[in-house]
Amino acid sequence: MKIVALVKQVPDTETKIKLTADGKALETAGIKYVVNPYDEFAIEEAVRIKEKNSGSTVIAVGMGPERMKEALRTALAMGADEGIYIAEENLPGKDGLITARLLAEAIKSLSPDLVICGKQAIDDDEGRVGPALSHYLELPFVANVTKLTVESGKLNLHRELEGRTEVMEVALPAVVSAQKGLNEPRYPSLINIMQAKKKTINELKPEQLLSNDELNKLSTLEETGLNLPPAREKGRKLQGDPEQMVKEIVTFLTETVKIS
Amino acid sequence: MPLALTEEQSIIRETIGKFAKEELLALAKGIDASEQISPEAYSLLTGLNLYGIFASAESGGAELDNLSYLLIMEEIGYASGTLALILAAHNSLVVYPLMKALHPELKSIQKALAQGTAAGALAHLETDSDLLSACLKTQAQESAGEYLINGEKTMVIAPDNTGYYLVSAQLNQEPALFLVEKSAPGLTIGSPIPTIGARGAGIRNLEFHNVKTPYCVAKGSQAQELITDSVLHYFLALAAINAGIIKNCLASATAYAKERKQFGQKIINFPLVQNHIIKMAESLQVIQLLVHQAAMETHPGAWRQKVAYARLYSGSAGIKSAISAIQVHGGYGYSKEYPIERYFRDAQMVQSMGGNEELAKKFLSDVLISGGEL
Amino acid sequence: MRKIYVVNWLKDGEMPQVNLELLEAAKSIKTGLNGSITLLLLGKPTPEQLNSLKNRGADEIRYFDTPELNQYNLETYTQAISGELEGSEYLLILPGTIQGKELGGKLSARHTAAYIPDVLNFTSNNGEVVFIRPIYAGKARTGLKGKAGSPWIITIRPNTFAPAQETGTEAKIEVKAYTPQNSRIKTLEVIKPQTATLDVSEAKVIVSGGRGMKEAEHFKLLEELAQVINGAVGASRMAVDAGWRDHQAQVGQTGKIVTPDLYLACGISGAIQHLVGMSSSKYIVAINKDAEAPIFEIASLSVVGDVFEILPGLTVELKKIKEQQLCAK
Repeated sequence: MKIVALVKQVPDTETKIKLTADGKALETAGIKYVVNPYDEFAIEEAVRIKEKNSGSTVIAVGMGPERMKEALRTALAMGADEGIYIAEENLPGKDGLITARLLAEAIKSLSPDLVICGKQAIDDDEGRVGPALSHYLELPFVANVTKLTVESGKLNLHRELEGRTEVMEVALPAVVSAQKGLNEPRYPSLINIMQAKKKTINELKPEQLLSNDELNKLSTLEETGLNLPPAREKGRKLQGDPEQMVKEIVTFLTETVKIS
Repeated sequence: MPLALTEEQSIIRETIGKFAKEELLALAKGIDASEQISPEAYSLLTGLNLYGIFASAESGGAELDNLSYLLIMEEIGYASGTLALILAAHNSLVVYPLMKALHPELKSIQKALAQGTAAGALAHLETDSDLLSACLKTQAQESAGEYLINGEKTMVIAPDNTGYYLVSAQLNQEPALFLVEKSAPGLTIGSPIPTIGARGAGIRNLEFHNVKTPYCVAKGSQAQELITDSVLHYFLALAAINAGIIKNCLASATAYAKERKQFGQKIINFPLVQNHIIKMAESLQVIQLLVHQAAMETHPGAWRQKVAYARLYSGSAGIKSAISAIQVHGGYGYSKEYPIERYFRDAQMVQSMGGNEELAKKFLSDVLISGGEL
Repeated sequence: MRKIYVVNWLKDGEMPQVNLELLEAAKSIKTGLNGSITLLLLGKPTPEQLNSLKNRGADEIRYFDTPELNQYNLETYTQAISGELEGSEYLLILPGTIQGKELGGKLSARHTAAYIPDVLNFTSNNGEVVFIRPIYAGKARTGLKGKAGSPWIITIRPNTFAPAQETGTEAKIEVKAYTPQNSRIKTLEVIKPQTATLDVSEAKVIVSGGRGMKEAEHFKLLEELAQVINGAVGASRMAVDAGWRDHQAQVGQTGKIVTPDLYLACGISGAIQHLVGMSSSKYIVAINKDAEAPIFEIASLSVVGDVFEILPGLTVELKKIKEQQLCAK
């Protein structure tokens, strides 16, 4: 089986979000970049499937700035066999469609049996590249997978909805996105990390995949500005006798919150 | 991190850092309290090749460079002083000298050590000597291709999974190094000595009564050099471990100061609290720089000096940082319900298990007196 | 002039409230876009359900009299919706649920549309609309404009807009047919929790517990209170990691981002990762023994007290009021 795992590099979850002095962009100084946590589930799942089906290969694919190659190298350390890096340069905007289409162009020629991505990137929280990519590859898509087994020609899977689980069957080849709980991503051993050095990462530039015209057509969004969420109004503090406080809470709930 | 890392050093630091925070941090309190390391904990370490960090690929090691080893020691030190110490003792004091000795008969033992099937412990310190001296009372005699060892060793870092001892003894009035298996008849392995820090590391005294071994790893000046370099290699690892402990002290103190309010405001606003935090941050930067610098040094003489600086600085810096962290935490810093007091006890390992301050100073003074340059 | 399409579908044959919330969003944006609102209802509604939608602000309602569309399927829904979209200057509004977002992503590629998921709000100026959405788990917000001439697709999470109220005018109703095509995706079963529990991501009221609840058993107190005030039971990451609650209940950066009208935080200190999950709640009531707990900084009402002394009394009082209300009816 040929499995593609999509990888994105994002700021670490502990990052304090600050804006630049002009308030137009995120302050990037001192940010630690890591593999998108949901992509770790994707890479791990791809490697597990490979380990269960001898002769399979896993290709880690990602697009981003130069530092992104380290994220691909980490995927290789986890067990991916090769990587494809698409440089994020000379693009008419940051529209997710551009990412999805470029990834599709790079992946198409591989004819993968399965493409796995993370349910969303924790910087933009969009979750759009997976389904958009599936359209460009003309493949079925299922989001939020928490359990996956491969049978000949199809996938048996569980995916999480709001408060319930959908049990599904999807014909291969397919694209799925991974949710927390799908697996426990491994820590690559030191030997795995050293072996990853010898694996190849093919480097591509957007102009090798799509013409400027086609890229321009995919840019449909304009960002007007970033800001921090508005501060909440200062509330009241209660202390003292529990019974008295209960009465005040009830008053607050019935009169201000107006619960039913 | 003060200086630039290669891509794989960055990945190594990121991976082990994550591993230490997610898997080892939770175990640290229990190990300290019970003075026991579980089989599962050992598996976690062997699983990632932490017993053969720089051992050759042929022996099942990861063949990492010096700096990577020290980055790993820092990340593990952040989570658990005990686990970091046992890895430093195994890798620097046993795997390292065996690699340099190139003894052909020891390949299978080197493999077992690199894969973590069994840990190694250096039995060198005696009650009358220090780690860098050649004054040894333990005696070895050669007889029919084997060696008979008699004597006592103290403060050996030998956790439960130790299978091999690298023992220093006088052979024909010269220092020599021998490899002894743990099951060798005549070897008495003492119970762990309860220590204030690095608890669970299995620090013990050993007695040798006519212990036989066929393996003489090195003799004479080669043995002396191996011992000196291994001990210094270990000192550098201790400095890196201390950096990890300081990093945790810094992170804990900062987080606490940002949340704790007194006199109507967050205590991080108080200049005296800020002073504690800044001093910890400064110590961390300096140790990391000293360790990094030593790691990159290829000239043996210069390397030894750079290790001495790192050892000298980290010994007191770690303790001071831990005390600062305790101060910032106020009353909670004194309580055993908070992990801060453990960082303080573990930080002391550099001074207590790393020779002593005077040793590093003596080393540097000897260079000055002999006409060398610092 | 930009036409507005609102997509609704049924969940287990029921009309989820988010459907009316999307209509409300459409109504508020209608004047800015100078367009009509078409409600596309995938699946066949009951007469009562159709009645409840008729005069909520849509100009036109199209529903499908095709049994195959009664159950969500990404491929059939993509086909059916695409068949109804006219021209290329429209705004398509989808629910911000997992299904809605995978549908939005797919449609955005198919129609090369500007895609803005999880819209919180928008500003409108001379036909120029800026949509505001959260990024970095809500730690920041960004404004996005769709290109003129391109279709725009947005998703809106449950509980972001109030449900549309009844208006005087009725929508024109059209029944459509859809020719089912084989889908490569099959839903075999939907597993629901044994006791019908409301999911935190859809609840208007959440009663949430953290470390201060001390053990799994004590969450019963929260369940009782939740039942009285029609809420869902949520949990902090600590409570989920400790095995006290299922991770579907987890609110926070690595759990769910929720926007209920009322979030009751019990024994939760308010670590930043938890706060990003619930700080957009309309009202926050926090109960914690520690007067310095960070959660008090964002609470509308901070209660410095023991949850075990407050909760039982609170539940009793609220039950009394509920019974009075029922009697009065």
